[in-house]
Amino acid sequence: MTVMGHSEERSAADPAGATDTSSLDGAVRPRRRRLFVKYATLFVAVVTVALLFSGVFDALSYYREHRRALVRIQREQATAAAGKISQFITEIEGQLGWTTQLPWSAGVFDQRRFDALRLLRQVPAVTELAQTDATGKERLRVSRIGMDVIDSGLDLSRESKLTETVARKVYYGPVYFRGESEPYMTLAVAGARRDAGVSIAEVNLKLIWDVVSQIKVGEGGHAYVVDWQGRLIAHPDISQVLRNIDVSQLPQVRTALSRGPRGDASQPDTLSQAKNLRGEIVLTASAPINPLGWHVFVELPISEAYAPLYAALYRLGLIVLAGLIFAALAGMFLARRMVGPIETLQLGAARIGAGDLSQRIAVKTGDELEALADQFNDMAGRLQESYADLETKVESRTAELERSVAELRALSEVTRAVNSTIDLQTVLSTILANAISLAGMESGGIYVVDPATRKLQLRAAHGITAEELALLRAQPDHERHLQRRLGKDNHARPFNVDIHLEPDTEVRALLYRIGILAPLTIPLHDPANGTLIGALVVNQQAPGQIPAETIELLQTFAAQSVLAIRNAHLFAEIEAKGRQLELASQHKSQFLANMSHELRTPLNAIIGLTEMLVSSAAHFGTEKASEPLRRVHRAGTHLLALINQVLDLSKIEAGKLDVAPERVHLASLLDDVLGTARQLAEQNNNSLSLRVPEKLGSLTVDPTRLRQILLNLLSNACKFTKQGEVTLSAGRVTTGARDWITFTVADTGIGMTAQQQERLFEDFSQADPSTARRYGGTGLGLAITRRLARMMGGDVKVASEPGKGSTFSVRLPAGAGGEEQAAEPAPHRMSGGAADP
Amino acid sequence: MRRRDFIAALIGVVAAPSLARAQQSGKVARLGLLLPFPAVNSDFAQYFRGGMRELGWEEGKNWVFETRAYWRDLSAVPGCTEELIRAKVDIIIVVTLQVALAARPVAGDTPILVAVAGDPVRVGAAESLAHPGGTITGLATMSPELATRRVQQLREILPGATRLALLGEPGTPLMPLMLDAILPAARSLGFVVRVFDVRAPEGFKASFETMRQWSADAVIVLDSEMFWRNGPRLAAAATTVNMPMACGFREMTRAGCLFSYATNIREHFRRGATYVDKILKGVKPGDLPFEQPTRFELIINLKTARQLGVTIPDTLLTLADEVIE
Repeated sequence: MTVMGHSEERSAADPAGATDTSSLDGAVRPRRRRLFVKYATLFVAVVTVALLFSGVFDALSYYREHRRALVRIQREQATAAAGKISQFITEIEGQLGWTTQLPWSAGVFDQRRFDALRLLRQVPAVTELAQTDATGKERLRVSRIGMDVIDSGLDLSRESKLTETVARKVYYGPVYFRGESEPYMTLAVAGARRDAGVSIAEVNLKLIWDVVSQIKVGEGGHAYVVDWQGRLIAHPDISQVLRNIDVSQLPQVRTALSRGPRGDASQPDTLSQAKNLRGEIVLTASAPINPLGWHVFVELPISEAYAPLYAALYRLGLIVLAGLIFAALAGMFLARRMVGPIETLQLGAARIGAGDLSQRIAVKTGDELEALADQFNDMAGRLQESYADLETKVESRTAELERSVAELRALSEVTRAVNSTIDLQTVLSTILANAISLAGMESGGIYVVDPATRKLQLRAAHGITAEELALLRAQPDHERHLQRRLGKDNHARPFNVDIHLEPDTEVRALLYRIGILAPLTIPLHDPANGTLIGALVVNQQAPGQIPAETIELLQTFAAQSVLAIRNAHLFAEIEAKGRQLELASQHKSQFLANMSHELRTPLNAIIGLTEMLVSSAAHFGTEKASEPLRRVHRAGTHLLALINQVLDLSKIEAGKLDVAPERVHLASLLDDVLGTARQLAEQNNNSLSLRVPEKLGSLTVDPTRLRQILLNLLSNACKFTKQGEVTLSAGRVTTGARDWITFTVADTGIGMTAQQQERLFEDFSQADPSTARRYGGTGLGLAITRRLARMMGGDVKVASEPGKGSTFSVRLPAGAGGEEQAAEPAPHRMSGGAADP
Repeated sequence: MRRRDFIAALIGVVAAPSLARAQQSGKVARLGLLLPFPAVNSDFAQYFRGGMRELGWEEGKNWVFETRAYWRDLSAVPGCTEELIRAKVDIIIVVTLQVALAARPVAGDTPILVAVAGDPVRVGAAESLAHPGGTITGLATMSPELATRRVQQLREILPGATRLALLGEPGTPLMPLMLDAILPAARSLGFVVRVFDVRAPEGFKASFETMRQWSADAVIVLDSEMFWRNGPRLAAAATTVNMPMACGFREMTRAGCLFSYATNIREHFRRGATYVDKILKGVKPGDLPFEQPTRFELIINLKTARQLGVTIPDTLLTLADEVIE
């Protein structure tokens, strides 16, 4: 109890013990996170936004620049390529010009042929060269792949290439494909002098490949040339050209061609993204080749074009990412620096708040937080001081409370014992045990003054072995010794004895032996008159002053002991009185029985003799005295009935009347009863009728008593009804879960008032005192009837109004109990013999 | 065929498969090389290798040769081709259209590259130059056209010559085409022409003897792989009868022929690599146009001219691309 109380106190005062720190941490951590995350997130967000903003800005501007650069480069490349191709043609043109220097004359022919052959050798693109004279006649034709033709006589003067050449000095023919494979162009140049004629060269454009393949556009890009019809003329992949492909369906080609064969040379078309011949997406730009009307296209695979852009974006992304990571780390570091002291502060405050007042918060930031921590520490210190004070108070108060609780508990136990049992021995043992345990004593006993001998006797002992008890009992001197101590003083105070200081007697030796060294005696006084009725003796381990509370406590128990002893005495008295009453009652019953018997014997003789004198009047010559004899007979009969009823009543009162149930066929019983009652009915000219439902069945009941009840009621009904009707009826009724048989006797007689009905079932009572005189009767019939009905588990009721007759109804249980007993009829009859009607 | 070449070729043939197996992990292209003789280390093969190197291919690393020789026996070509097909070559490289046509029925879908094709359209190897359409593609030589020019050049060197002998290898698809071109040209220049056949180098001497008996003033050798390869022997035979000889390959001029006007077929082999490159990259041979030559070389052997006592006109010498002293 004490240990438990202490631990409760501890856990109440110090909930933030070592075991609770984990849960404390658990409660604190989420809050810490929130602040930390808030700070860190804010920092990261700020840096992220800045970084992303600058990153996106950089990326966008870089993208624009890169695109612009690409556009510029591709345009330049296209323009440069156009220039180179143009130069290629111009050079051929220039070479051709040399062949038309000399006028056609006889001596010059061989020279011109040689010049032509030399041209073929110097200009590989020219496969064939024809020369006409001023009249337009072909004078000479040399070829790389055929024999020279001299003075073929072909007249070309009407052909457009010649007329145009003459008109414009130079002629660029349309592109045509030899053998449907090799692109060729006719290039004609007129001599400076009119008589020098015209040189017409068939130029194999395949050789532009030499130019085109030299144009480098990035790593995977290239340039190609398309004529104004959309035919591919030159391409680094010569087989593309040799296939004689029409590329005018490519959107970039279509766009370029739509500007016309003489597109604006200074303004190459804008860079665009399109699919090339192989279906790859390329960045492409074109430039017209003047004066041919062709277009040169440069294209660069999109992947390559944007590769540096992507690389730069990738690098930028890496930098931004690195920046973000750095920002996150820095944010976390800063947030930790900021949140750390707050967290320490908060955790410390939480611990202080949870009761760990020895907690001191160590924050050394040198700022407001440290000041706050110091204030917390001060607060904790103050709290700790006041707590310590409070704790001692609570401790002492708790101890007091505990004691009170223990006392109350003991008292309640004692009280329970006092109230629940009248066995003095038990009560005193309980009181003694509680008193000793509560007072912190070892042993003790309760002595009670025997009311008869006025001597103290040891009635209860505690903490003493049976052997020691036997020793004590064998030494009655100690009782006498105690009685002497207590003396006759009705107002003796509790006293303490130090055995060491007592004279050396046998009693002292015995007490020593048992270990009773310092008995404390509390006299027990009857509060009514202050008489000493006993003593409570407890043994201290060592002699010494006994605290007042202990004495007070023990006096409480002493009071209980007094109560118990008084109860015991009172009970003994009551018991004695009860025994006397029972004896008196027995005597009364005996007397009644005897008297009845004694009265009935002569009365029977009187009735018998008067009957005889009336019925055999002739024989006895008493005709003249017959009327008085009848009166004597009637009075005797009445007296006998009265005596019988008094006898019955006394038997019932004495509990000596018993019922003997058996299975009874109701219809025949009722017939029988009705037969007996008919005589009564006829006396007052009443009609008597029976109402019984079919199959009323049988009932387990004492038939004699049932008959007595019914006859009582019927005789009453007949008695108070003149020339009326008396009806006996029976039936089964079910109320609640129980079955009943009801018997009803209804008459049309004088009836009763409500007040009369109240007293109806009392002994010796009639509805009106006067009725006895008018109708006769003992006034015991209904009292007996009710008692009998109740004995059989039933009851009787009345309903009546003055002048309107009365209805008495009896109900008896038709329950299973009766049915069971039906098989085994009445095992014993009442001891007092059969009840007479 | 020199012994050293033969041994080298043999080593190449033996070594190539094992090398290929070693390179099996990556995709190694196998190039079937079908030659009259095992000549994997000949000049032309080296030119081809050079072309491949220029395009970024490394022999032994991502491509290997699978060489077969048909020993100048055309009937052996299908057999060799089958072997190459079984060796799972990606492409078959042959020198002439004659071999390509012989290999085509056996080769199935495997592309055939002709390094020196006379006139592929007229011999039925291609639908057109721009779109060959089949499995054969390659580089054309324009041999018939160039041959007419040779007649003219011969006429310039020998203005008084009247009898012109034409030496051809019967059975080559190019021979009739060349004759078709040369005969009218020669006649227009006042030549009396007679065609002489020879099927093997062993017959060279006899052929030239017959020409001398016919008192031919000059001979034009029709383009044939056999003549090309046996240039020195042919030149020696010509020298014995003191016969000026024009031919279609610069190698033959170097061997002693008087002059040649032709394409440089070494270039053919080098450019052949571009075809191999495209085909290996997935272009169908039928979509790869036959390339026609654009550069023609006039090579004159002055040494031979001096031996023959022939004077080369200055104009011709000036126009010559190479003069062998």
